[in-house]
Amino acid sequence: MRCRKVRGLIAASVYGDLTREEQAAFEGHLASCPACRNEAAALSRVTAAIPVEAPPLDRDLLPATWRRLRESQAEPIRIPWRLAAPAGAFAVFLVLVSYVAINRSEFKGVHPRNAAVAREDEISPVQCALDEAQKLRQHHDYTTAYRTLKQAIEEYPDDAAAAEAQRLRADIAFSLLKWYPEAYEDYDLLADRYPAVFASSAESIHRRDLLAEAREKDYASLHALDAARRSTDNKFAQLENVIGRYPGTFVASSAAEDMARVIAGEDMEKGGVSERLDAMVHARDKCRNTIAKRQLDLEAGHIYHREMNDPAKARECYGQVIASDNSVLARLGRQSLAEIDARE
Amino acid sequence: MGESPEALVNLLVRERVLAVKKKDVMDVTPLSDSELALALKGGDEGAFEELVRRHQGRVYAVAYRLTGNREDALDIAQESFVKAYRKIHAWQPHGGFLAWLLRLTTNQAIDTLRRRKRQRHDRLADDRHGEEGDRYVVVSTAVDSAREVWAHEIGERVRAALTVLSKTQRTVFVLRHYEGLQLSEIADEIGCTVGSVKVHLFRALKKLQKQLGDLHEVQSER
Repeated sequence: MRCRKVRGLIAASVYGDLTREEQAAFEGHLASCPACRNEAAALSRVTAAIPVEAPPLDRDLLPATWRRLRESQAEPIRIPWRLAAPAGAFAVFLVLVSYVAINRSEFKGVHPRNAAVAREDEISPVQCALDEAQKLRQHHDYTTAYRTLKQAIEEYPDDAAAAEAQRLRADIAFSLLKWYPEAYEDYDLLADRYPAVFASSAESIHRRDLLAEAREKDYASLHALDAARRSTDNKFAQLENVIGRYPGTFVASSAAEDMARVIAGEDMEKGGVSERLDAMVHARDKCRNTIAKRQLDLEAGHIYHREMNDPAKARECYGQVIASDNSVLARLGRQSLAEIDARE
Repeated sequence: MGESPEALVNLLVRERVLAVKKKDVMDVTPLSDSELALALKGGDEGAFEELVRRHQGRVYAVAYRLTGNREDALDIAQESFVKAYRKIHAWQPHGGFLAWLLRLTTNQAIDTLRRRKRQRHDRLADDRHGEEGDRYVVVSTAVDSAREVWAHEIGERVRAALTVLSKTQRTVFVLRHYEGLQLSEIADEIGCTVGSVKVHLFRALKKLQKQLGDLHEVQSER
C-alpha cells in the first residue's frame, strides 16, 4: 500500500474508525513505513490535546426559540426552488444592501468614536449604549443589545444613565431573551446598586420576586408557563395544569391572569378592574382543575380586597381558598384573611 | 401510477405520528429524529419542540466550543433551531437530522465569529482616529481561576486554528471530534463517500497539527 492511500486511514485510525480489514492493512503499512508511523502518532497527539468537553446547558432554549420564530413570522417554506430562486436572489440582494446600509449608519456599536462624539455633545457613554440597544432591540438583535448594555454598565457603573441601562438589560434578559438566570442576577444587581430605580418600577420588583421563587426549582415553573402560553391547542387547560403543578406561586398567579385574558380576550386590557374581576370569575367557573379554581378564588379575593375595597366579597373568596385541600393555597387564604382583619 | 419512495416514507411516518398521538397527544418521544423531522416538514410543531429538547445540549456545546462565549453560544443555538425550523424543507431524509442540525450550528457559529472579527477590525480602525483605545472590543467571558484561565487559553488557540480549516474540513472535524458521529453519517450529511470524509478529516488534522503542534508539549509541561 502506498503512503498516499494510507492518509485517510491515518485519520480514521486516530478515532478508531477502521474496519478489521483496514486495520490489518494499515498496521502492515506502518510496520514498514516510519514516516506514516510518525504522522499517525503526531495526529493522535494533536487530537488528544484538543479538549472535547463543554459546559452543560443550564436552561430550556424552547421559549426563546419560539419567540424568535414568532417575531420573524417564520413558516416552513414549501415553494419549489425553481420558483423561489429569482425571488430569493432578489431578497438576498435587498438584505445585502440593507446590511451594508445598516453597518454604515446604525450598527456601529458603542465604540470609541461614538463615545468621543457623545462626550462632545455631553451625552453620557451609557446613554449612547442605551440608544444603540433600543435600535438593536427594534431589529430583534437582543443578544447584541444585551451585550452592549452589559459592557457599558461594567465600564461606567456610576454613569447617570447606568441605572436605566441596567433596568433595560434585565428586561431584555427576562422578556425577550428568556434568559432567566441572567435576568435574576440583573434584577438583583438593579435592586442592589440602583435601589431608587428598582423601587420605582413595580414590574422590576414583581419580576425579581417571580424569578427568585422560580429559581429554587431551576426555573421549571417559568418554562412551564411559557410552554402553556405558546400552546395553540387548548391554552386554557394548559394554564390550568400550570397552576395545578405550582399552586400559590407567582407563576400560578400569572397563569390565572392569563386564563382570565383567554376568557375576556383583548377587552380585558381595555376594561377596568370590574372587567378583570368578571373575567377571573368566569375563568374560575370554567375551570375543571379544583386547585386552579381555588387559585382563581384567591386572585379574585385580592382584586376585591386590594383594588375594589370590598372586604366582604374578599372574605367570601378567601373562605373558599381556606377550605381547599391544597395546604399552600389554604395557608395563603388564611394570611389574606388575616390582612383584612388587621386592616379593619 | 405508484407513489415515489419518499412519498411512501412520508406517508408511513405520518401514520406513525398519528398512531403515537392517538395514545397520548403530547408524547412524541418514541419517534426517531428522522421521523420527527419529517413530521415537522408536515407542519407538526410538537415534533419541532421534541427535536429542540432532544438536541439543545449538543447544539449549545458545539456553539460554545466554536465561540468560547456563553452568550454567543446561547444565541447561536437558538438561531440554529430557528434556521432548522425555517429550512426543514431542505433537509433530506437520507441524511441524519442531527448531522444536518450541527452543520447549521457550525455555519452559524463561524458567521458569528466572522462578524465579531469584522466589528473588532472596524472598531480598531476607528481607534486610530480617536483616543479611546479598545475598551469596547468584545472580549470573552471573564475567567477567574488559574485552571479556567488555562482552559480558556487552549480554547482560544483551538478556535483560532479551526478558522484555518475549509468549511468542509471544519464540519467533518467538528462532527467527528466533538460530536462523535460515524463517518458514514458525516458522509451522508455532506454528500460524499466515506473515503472522502477520511481524506477531509486527514487534511483537517494536518492543518490543526501545524497550528497546534506544540499544544500537547505545553500541556505536559503544566
